[in-house]
Amino acid sequence: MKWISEARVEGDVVFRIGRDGAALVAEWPDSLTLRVEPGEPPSLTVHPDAEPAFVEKLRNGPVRALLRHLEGKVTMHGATIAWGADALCLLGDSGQGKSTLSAALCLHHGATLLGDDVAHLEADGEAVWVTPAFEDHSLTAEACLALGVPVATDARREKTSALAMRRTEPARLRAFVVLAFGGDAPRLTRLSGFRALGPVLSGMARFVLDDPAVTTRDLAAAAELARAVPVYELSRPRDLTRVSECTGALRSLLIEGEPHGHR
Amino acid sequence: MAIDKNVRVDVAPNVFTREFEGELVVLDLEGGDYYGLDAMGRQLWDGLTHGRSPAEIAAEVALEFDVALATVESDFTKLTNELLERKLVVARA
Repeated sequence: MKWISEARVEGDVVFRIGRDGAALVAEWPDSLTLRVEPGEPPSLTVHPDAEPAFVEKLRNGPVRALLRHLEGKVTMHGATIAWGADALCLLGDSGQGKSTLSAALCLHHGATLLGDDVAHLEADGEAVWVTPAFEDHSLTAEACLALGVPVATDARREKTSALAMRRTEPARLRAFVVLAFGGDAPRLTRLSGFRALGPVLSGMARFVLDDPAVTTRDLAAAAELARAVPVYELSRPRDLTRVSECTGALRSLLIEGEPHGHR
Repeated sequence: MAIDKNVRVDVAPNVFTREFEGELVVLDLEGGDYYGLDAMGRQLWDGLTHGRSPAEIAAEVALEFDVALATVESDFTKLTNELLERKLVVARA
C-alpha cells in the first residue's frame, strides 16, 4: 500500500488516498474504505464502529465526489444555493463562511440549498447545472446564534444541522462567488484570468493527484468552467452581524445580474 | 538561495502549461500544484523556455516597455529563483 496524500485534523488522519497495486484505495479511518479496481465496480467497506449518520454524509459527499472524479466529472468543494432554477456556488477555504452565508440566504432571502459542502456539476454544452447533494446546513454554534437558529451540537464536528430547506431538482449555475475577509464593507468584484481560474481549480474536489492525464484533464475542466460561469470575489468584514449586507449583495447578483453598486 | 541573473534553465519534465485569458497556468503534474503567471511573468517564462537568461529577457522588456532595467532585472531574477525553488524549471549545468 502506497499512500499518495492525506488530510489531518489536529494531527489525526481524517482521510487518505493511495494505491494498492493497480487499485485506488481511499480511507476515512474508523468510518469507510473505498477500493476501486480497474474495470471493477467500486467496493465500499463500512467500519463496524462507524456512526451511521457520518457514513451517510461521506457517501453523499466525498465518496460520490471521488467516484465522479474517476469518471471525469466535476464536483466543487463549496456551498450552493438556488433561487428558483438559478444557483450560486460559494467557494473558499474552510472557515470563510460558505455554510453561514448559504444558511442566511435560505433563512432570510428565500433561497433553497443544493449542497452545503459539495456541488456536483454537469455541463450540457449550453449551461452548467448543479445537481442536489442532499446535504443539510452545517453551522458552527456561533453562526447559529448569529442567525437565530437553535444550536444542536454534533459530537463529531461541533456543528449543527438545524435547517433543511433543500432543493431537489438541478439548478443552472449562474456564478461562482469566492469568499474572502477584508475591507470595511461587503464588496463584490468580478474576477478574470488566473484570479478566476485559480479558485475554480482549487475548489474542485480532486482526489487522483498522481496521474498526469487526470491533472491536465482537471485543468482543462476548470478552464472550461471559469469561461462558462462568471467568477466573483465577495470580500467583507469578519463580522457575523453584517451577514445580511452580504446576502443582499449575493441575492442581487443572482436576480439582477452584474452588481453595479458593489464593484 | 540567490541565483545568477545570467542563469539558463530548462522546463522540468513534469511541468505542463496552458494559456487562460492571456495568462499562463503552470501545472506541476507530479504534485498537482499549479501557478499563474501574469502577462509579465509570461514574458519571462517564454524567454526562459527559449534558452534566454533573466538578464537578457529583462533587457528586451525594459526596452520594449520603457521601464527601468534594474527593476525588471531584479523582478525577473527573483521570479526565476521562485520557479527553481518550486522545481518548475531546472538550472542548466
